[in-house]
Amino acid sequence: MGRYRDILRGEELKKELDKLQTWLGKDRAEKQQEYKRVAKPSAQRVKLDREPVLIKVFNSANGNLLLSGRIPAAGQSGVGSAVVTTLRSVLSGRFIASGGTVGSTDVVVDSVEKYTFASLSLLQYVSTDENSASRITGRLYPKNVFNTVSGNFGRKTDTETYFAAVADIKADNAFTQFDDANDGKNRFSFKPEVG
Amino acid sequence: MSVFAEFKGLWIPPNAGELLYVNCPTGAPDNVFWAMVEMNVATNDFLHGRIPADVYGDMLAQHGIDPVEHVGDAWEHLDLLFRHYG
Repeated sequence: MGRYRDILRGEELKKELDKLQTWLGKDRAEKQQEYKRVAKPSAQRVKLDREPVLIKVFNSANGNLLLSGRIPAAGQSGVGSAVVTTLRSVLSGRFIASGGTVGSTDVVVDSVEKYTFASLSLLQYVSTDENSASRITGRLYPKNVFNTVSGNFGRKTDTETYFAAVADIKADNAFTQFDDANDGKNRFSFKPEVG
Repeated sequence: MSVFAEFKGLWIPPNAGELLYVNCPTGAPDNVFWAMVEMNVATNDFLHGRIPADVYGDMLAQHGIDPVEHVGDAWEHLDLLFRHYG
């Protein structure tokens, strides 16, 4: 038995259910079109050049394993370039640029199957679309638009843990400035390594 | 979006966790910051079978995220990909 307030919403919910079933009944091409409709236009997307680097992974037996990775390259222009500058500053010391000095005890490996680096994503607030329509229910909702830039990172020392690295990044000046900008509308995400 | 590769109009993550990771508003208090960090670690653990689904779901719910809705969105996207290109 539902509560009285649930019963009162029955008619409204039935209409919502009908919309959901209409969505489920759409074929592949129709769904694909709806996904495209709500996706950020291509011209407004961040498109990055990336450069090869070496990154010291967190999960290694002796803490001295460097893997080949890629991070957003310096000196870019276009959508999201300011975020790239911030990200590179925040992650400085956590990657070795091409031609950089590798420690004498470090082990360099090109790649490890199914391994994914830890990464930091910075989402710089751009604008809010107050009347974005859900592709499924058609409901209008405010949708924030961000320029998102992600970069891989590793440990600075052979013994630094993932959580210690996150705490260190959190205290970094460039990160703090990003944290303070845009009236708290920017966002960020730390993602642990896989493998 | 740099972590995604565009493929025929759909976004395909190289890592399934990308569909489940959460982010955090700037200026958030420390407990929210660390909850985001821990939830993303838990997402990895869940996807690799190191913690059961109910523990992961409880953790999401504890931080105000509806687990069914959260995982459902990711599943819907994957389901679409499988049906289209699988």
